[in-house]
Order: sequence, then C-alpha cells, then structure tokens
Amino acid sequence: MKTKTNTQGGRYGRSGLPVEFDGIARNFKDVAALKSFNLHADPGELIVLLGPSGCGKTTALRVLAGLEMPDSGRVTIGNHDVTSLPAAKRNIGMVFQSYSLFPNMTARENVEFGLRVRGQKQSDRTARSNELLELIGLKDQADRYPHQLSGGQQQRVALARALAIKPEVLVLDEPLSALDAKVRSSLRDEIRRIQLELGITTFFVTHDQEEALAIADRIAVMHQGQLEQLDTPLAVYTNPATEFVAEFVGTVNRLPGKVINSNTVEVATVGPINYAYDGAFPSGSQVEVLVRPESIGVRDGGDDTCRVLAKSFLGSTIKLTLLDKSDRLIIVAIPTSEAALVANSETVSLYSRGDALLVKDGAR
Amino acid sequence: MTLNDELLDRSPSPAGDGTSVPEPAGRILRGRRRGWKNVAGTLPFIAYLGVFLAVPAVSVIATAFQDGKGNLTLSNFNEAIHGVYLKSFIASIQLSFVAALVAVVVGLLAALAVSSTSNKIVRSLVTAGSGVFANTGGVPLAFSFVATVGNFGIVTKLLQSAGFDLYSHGFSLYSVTGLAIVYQYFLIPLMILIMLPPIQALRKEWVDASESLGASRSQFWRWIGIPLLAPPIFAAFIVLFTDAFAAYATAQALTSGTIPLVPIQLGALISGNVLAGQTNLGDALGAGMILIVVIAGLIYATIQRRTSKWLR
Amino acid sequence: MVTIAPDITSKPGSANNSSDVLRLGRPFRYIVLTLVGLFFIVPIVSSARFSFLGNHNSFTISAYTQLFGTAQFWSTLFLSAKVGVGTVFLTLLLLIPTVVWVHVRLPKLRRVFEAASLLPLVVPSVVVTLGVITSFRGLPNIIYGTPVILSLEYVVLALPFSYRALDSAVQSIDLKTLVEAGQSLGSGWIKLLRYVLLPNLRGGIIGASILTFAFCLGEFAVASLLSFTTFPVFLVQVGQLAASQAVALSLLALLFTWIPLAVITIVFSQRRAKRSTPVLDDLEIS
Ligand SMILES: Nc1ncnc2c1ncn2[C@@H]1O[C@H](COP(=O)(O)OP(=O)(O)OP(=O)(O)O)[C@@H](O)[C@H]1O
Ligand SMILES: [Mg+2]
Repeated sequence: MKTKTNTQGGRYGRSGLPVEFDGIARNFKDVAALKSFNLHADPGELIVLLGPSGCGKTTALRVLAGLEMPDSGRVTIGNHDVTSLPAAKRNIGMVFQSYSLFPNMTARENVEFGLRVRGQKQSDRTARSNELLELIGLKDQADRYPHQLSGGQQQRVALARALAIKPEVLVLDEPLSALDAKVRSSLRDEIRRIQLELGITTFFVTHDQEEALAIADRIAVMHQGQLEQLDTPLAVYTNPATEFVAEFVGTVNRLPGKVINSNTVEVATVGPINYAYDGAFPSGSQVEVLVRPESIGVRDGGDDTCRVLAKSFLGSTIKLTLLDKSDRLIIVAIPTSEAALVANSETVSLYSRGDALLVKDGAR
Repeated sequence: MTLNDELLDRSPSPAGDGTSVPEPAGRILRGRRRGWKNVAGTLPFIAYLGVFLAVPAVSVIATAFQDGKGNLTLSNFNEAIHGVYLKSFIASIQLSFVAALVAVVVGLLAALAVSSTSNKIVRSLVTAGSGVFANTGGVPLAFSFVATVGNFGIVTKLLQSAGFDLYSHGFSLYSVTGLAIVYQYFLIPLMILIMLPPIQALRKEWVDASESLGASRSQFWRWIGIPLLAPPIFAAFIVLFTDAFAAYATAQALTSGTIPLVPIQLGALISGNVLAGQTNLGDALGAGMILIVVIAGLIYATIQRRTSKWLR
Repeated sequence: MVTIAPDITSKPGSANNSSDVLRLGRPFRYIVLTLVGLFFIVPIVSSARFSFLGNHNSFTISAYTQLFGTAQFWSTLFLSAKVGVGTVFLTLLLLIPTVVWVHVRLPKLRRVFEAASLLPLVVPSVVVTLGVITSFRGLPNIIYGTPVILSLEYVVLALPFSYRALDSAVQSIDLKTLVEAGQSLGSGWIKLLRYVLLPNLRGGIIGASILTFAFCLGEFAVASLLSFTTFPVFLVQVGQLAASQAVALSLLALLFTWIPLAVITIVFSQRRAKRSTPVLDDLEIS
C-alpha cells in the first residue's frame, strides 16, 4: 500500500529513474513465461522479485535489460519507452548468478570493459575502475583473473563491472545464490549499502525469503508469469493480497473456522481470532483461516489440547510442531522468553495472539 | 627424480591467495620417501615407453651424427638439407601447413555450425562421425579417393561427362595438392573434435553481460570470444600440422613413393629403394622430422603461454 | 553475424542453459554442414560405385568374389588380426594397472601421464620404424624378425588413443572410494582388480580395445617398412594390380573400422548424456 521512495539520490549526485513494465507478455514455444506482467518501480527503490522457480523472474529482468524481446507490452525507463531499444543501448547494469565475469580479463579489465567499448580514454577508465574497486573493497585483487578470486569476490567484481557504466537501472539475478551463508549476508548488506549510496533503481531476484525481507524496499511476488503483490516486506508478510502470497512468504497454518461476526472468526483448536472483514462472509459461514505461527500462543493445560511433536530452537523463537485432536499439524512460534511454558509439557492448548492473515471460503 | 619433485611441488597450498605454507622438514622427507614408493607402480609403463619409444628415437638421433664407421659427423645433415631432401622438407612443411590451415578453418566453421543447432540428431551425428573419421586414414582412405577423383574416379568421370576435365585443369590427386585434399578427410573431423568442447564452454552469461555493458556483437568477439577460442585453435593447428606432417600411408599408397615428402623419402631409404650416398642419411631425415615436430610444439607452448595467461 | 548462447556442457543446476550456443544464421549452418557432409559422403558412395563397376559401366561383384577367393586376403587379414589381438592384450596388461595406479596413488601427476601418453605423436611412425631397425637389429630373431615386434610397437603408437579411453573411464568412476572400500573389506589387489575395477571399467576397456584393434588393422607404415605383409600392405599390393579390387577392399576396411568406432562413440556420448540428463532435458524446451 504505502510505498517507500528514495528520490534524494546518492553520493554521486544522481537519482534513480522510475521503471515501468506495462502489460508484458513473453512466450517460449508453449510456455508463457510472462503474461500481462505489470510493475512500477519508483526512482531509486530496490525491488526484490520473489516467486517459485519458473515463475518468470529471470525473464522479467531480461526483458528489462533488453536481452529478451517481449511479445507484447511496453517497458519504460524514466520517460523513455525502451521496448525496442537493444540491450547495448539501454545502459542497464546486470549481475548474474555466477560465471559471468570474462575469464580472460583481470578484475580490473572486467570492470573497465563497459568503458572500453564506449571508447573511453585509458586514464579515465583507470580512475573509474580504481574508484569502483575501492567501493567493493577489492583494490588489492585488481590484477587477479576471475578463477583466482573466491565466489564472493567474483560477485563483487561483477557488481563493480555493472556499476562502472553508471547504469540507469541495476538488475541482479540471484547474485548471491552460489555463495555460502556468511558471505551471502555480508555481501547482501554491502549491495544494499552501495545501492542506497548511489540511489539507483534496482531489481533483485532471490529465492531466499530472509534475503528478500532484509534488503527490499518493496517485494514483488510473482506467480505464473504475473505480479501477485507489490508491497513493502512488512505488508507482504502481514497483509498478503492472495493466498499464494501468504503461502509463499513465510509459514502459514490452514485451519477450518466459522465466522462469528464482522471481525471475529472461531478457529478449530485455536479459538476466536480477529480478522479484517471485507464483507464477504455472513456470520456462521464455514471458512478456511490462514494463521501465522507467531499469531498463536500456547499455554499449559486446558481441554482442547495438542500434542507436542517437535520443538526446535531458532534463537529468538522456538518453533513447535503440534498435532491437534483432529490430527491436524499446527506450527506455532513462541518467543524464547516463553520457553518455560513448554519445557516439560507433552500437551498444550492454544490461543490467538494476533490477527488471521486471510479468511477464505470453503472449510471441509 | 623429476616426477618426485613435481609431486612435492604440488603439495597442497591454501587455495586462493597463492601463498604456500612452508612445511616442516620431517614432512617433506617423509613425503619424498613415500613419493618413490608411489611412483613404483608406474615403472613398467615408463620402462615400456623408454624401450619402445625413447630408445628408437634416441638411436635415430644419435646415429644421425655418425658416419658408417661410428665416427661423429655432420655430413648426414649436410646431405639432408640439400637437393631432393631439402625440397621434400619444404614440400612436407608446406603440405602440412596448408592442409592444417584449411582444416582449421573448415573444421572451425563446422564446429560453430554444429554448436549452433539445437537439433540433437545433427549434433550426435556430427560428433559420432568426427570420432570415426578422425581415426580414418591410411591406405583405405587413399583408395576411396582414387575411386572418387582419381584418373578414372567416379566424380572425375561425372565432371568429364559434364564437360569439365579436372586433370586438364591442373588438378591431380597424386600431387601435393591432392594429398592436402585427401588429408582433410581426417584433419577436419579432428578439428571438430578438438573445438567442440571449447566452443560449447562459451557461456551465455558472457554474451549477455557484454551486451548489457554496451558491447556490440563484434566487440564481444573481439574482446572475449576470440581470445577464449584462440588458444584451442592454435593447439588444434599444431596437432593437425604434426598429424599431416607425419602421415605416411596415404601418401605412399596414393603415389607409390614418387612424391617428394620427407616421410616418403625416409621410407624409400629404409626399404632400400634408393641408393643413398651415405649410410645414415635416413637417421638425419628422421632426426629432422623429430626436430620439426618439437619446434611446432615449442611454438605452441610459447603462444599458449602468451594467449592464455588467465588460465594459470 | 554470430551470437552466443549457453553452454550445454555446464553442470546441471545453473539456471538458464537452454537454446543454442551460437546463433549462426540458419543458411550458414545448412551450407557449412551440407558441404562438409558431402565431402565425407561422396568418397564413400564413389567407392561403392567404383567397386561394383564392370566393363562398359556394367554392374558386377567380381571385385569382391575375386578378393574373397584370394588366399592372401585371408592370410594377411588373419595376420593383422593376430597382431591386433596381441597388441590389445599387451595394451590392457600395461595400461590398466598404470592408469589405476596413477589415479589412486599419484592423482596429481595425472596430467603428466596423460601428456606422456601423447609422446608417440612427437615421433612419426616412419621414424620409429627406422629407430627400431637401428636399435633392435641385434636382438634375437624371435622378437625382431617376427610380427611380435609389430605388436610391441603398436602398443606405443596407439597409446594416445588407448590411454585416453582408459583414463577417462577411470576418471568417471570414483576409483579411490572403490579401492578403499575394497581394501577395507580385506580384498587383495588381484581380487580388487577382478571384482571391483574390471567390471566398473568395462566401458573404457572395450573402448580402448576397439580403438587399439582398429589402429592395428589399419597401420601401414611400420608393417610395410619392416616387410610384414599385413592387411594394409596387401591392400597396397592389390592396388598396384587391380584398382577396383583395392577400392572394394578399402571400402570393406573402412566400414569394418567405422562400425565399431561409431558404436563406441555413440555409447560413450550417450553415457555422457545420461549423466547430465537434467541439462539436456532443459534443452528440449528450446
Ligand atoms: N530461453 C528459453 N527458452 C524456453 N523456455 C524458457 C526460456 N527462458 C525461460 N523459459 C521458460 O520460461 C519460464 C520462466 O523462466 P524464468 O527463467 O523467467 O524463471 P525464473 O523465475 O527465473 O526461475 P528460477 O527461479 O528457476 O530462476 C520457465 O518455465 C522457463 O522454462
Ligand atoms: Mg531465474
């Protein structure tokens, strides 16, 4: 709903440009990779594309970069329709998953490549590559070849190479997925820092929800070639537009329930839960309720009890896997401070401590 | 000794930064002792190569420097680089060079064409075909070309009946040119076999990256595609060159030993068809052949070091 | 003119590896492949036609019937086959232990040994023959004066093919684990070889054998210069007398070497394909 924008521009005194996908369709033989795909990115914002494998994230980025021509629809950057502009003229910086550095060039030569094809003077190129190698902290490794760099270093160089041409838009397709967890989170923060510093409009694809929630101004959840929801991480998590988004981002429990009044629904095992009523269900209708694990609390005793199947300690929370009397699995996350509640208990009873995510028709 | 040194040289060093940690002396000593034992199982192989390859090769080279009585002399070489022998060296080098060059170009085009089809049948057909034809050669190949474009070959006669006489237009299968064509039959497939892996190792990401960085297609080739393909192309050229240079059977069968090429001349000396002025002239020719192959190898190594420094 | 697209040889898992490597224009592709294809097919077709050519363009199989009726045809073929079998046997005896040893005990020297196996390419076979004459003249006749010397040398000359075939077969199995597993179960080297290595290396052994055998059947330089009338030497003699018989014989020889070679090439590439099925399946979409 609310969109966070960032138009003030970065250290280099440039501000990002708005980007618009307007009704893009792209088919590969009988596969529709994108169908009427719409997305608007505000200047300087970082949008994370999130979605299951094959939902068209890469295709969307490639269409934006000009590496793939859409069958229909328009792409605009700033106020320019770039739909038919070739990739080489779009001035878009791209970072791929891996192996994208030119193996026959050193880190520095890779960074300078975009400037070399633009015919810049060697002295200007060196100045610019120095600046960027410094930005990514690889000045000492400037003369190494890609295979002499670690995976994380290679991706930094790829980022620097993409930034060297002062791109109008930055596009990163799973740039971190080939790296191990630690490098990943530090590089992720670094990318975000640089992106904020430059104020460049950025698209970032990842499979990692945590990464998406951590880095994004807004998350674009895609499903079968279409945009399902575009919103801030918080809103996507707490207020999913569709069942798909609710299921895809985070964990949900699906439980049968009965509508009591315009803002309460009685849910099996858990009891009454608040929900935002949109007038769709009359009182008494049978519904299915989607509830986040952390919206459910546990207490000792009670009559509608669940068996504790497993407890896993996740640091700040404890995840409980429970089985209720009708053999439904329920996942609950409680703060670690409440650990004592389940320390010795084999059974617990549940209550609601937050709103339902979604209520949909047709409980069994 | 050298094997063992190599073994120690490549003892694990922390990857990435290229600095190696000095090892305690005890470990090195133990490593050396174990190293010898490790080599033991390969001694039969090394010995076999020594007896049946190194001994003959070295004896040829050594004999080349001796006269009939075993005295040191350079006169064998003197003879080997004059007259018909000089001519045959030149002809052999020319033939191998041109044949290899043609095969490199044609084979490269074919490999590119094959790599760019998504038709799996064409791909496996060409790969299998190349594997098969690259191992063809020798006598049967010569005769199948005789049947094709020989004096009375099928194609020769077809062209004749169409009003074009190959042989009155300067073509002859039994010449150096003819041989260069026949050699294509095993050189082109060899080139395809050598080039398919490096071509298919060119990554989509490199094209996409260069394009998004503003490079045109030709700039991509200029800065990335060709630099990456050049080393394997050079390597292939050298392999094809030596292959053609050493080939004996096809030329012998096709020309009955009348063509002035080094292997043919050497063969004639061996089978005693030619009255040589000197006993050990053949050995000088043989040494010369080894020398040329070695030079080709050295040129290759030099170029390779220049062109692919990013590989080490 | 030329466009590149992804790498089909890359590991499965990297996402966008479909479609072609180079998007050369369709006409270019067809023209090149057709011309090259013709170059390879025309001689075969011509040979076939030539070998059936009688007087006045009539059709005859007399070239073949005469050949099969010649005693020398069978005796030289038999000699070549004998030499071939001997060479294959020697090759396997020498190379299997070596390759296995290198992989298990000297993995770092694998490249060195591979390079050593290419050394025969440095010395042309004509020169090897000369060297054999000069250096082994003094040896007892039993080795030097009989076709045994051919087998002994063919092992070396076929090494670039045979070694590679075995080496890549060993490379494709997890030899070290197999050996260690075998040893931990207390089996000695002989048993290990018999029950663990040979069954696992069967493909490579068959490949190396076929390549070596094909080499032996076709080798001309060494045999003719050492005055052994093997099959190819006989073929040249025939060629000087009766062209159509020589062509017929060549055609047979080519077919007989091609068929097994084609079989191993296809089998090997299929095995490679099977190992990377996920990628190839992806490719099918494009
Ligand atoms: N070049 C192509 N040829 C054929 N089909 C393609 C091509 N590129 C993409 N597709 C298909 O289009 C659909 C979307 O692909 P895309 O690569 O955009 O997915 P993605 O969301 O990036 O998936 P992943 O998360 O696995 O990277 C998939 O079904 C894919 O198989
Ligand atoms: Mg993708």
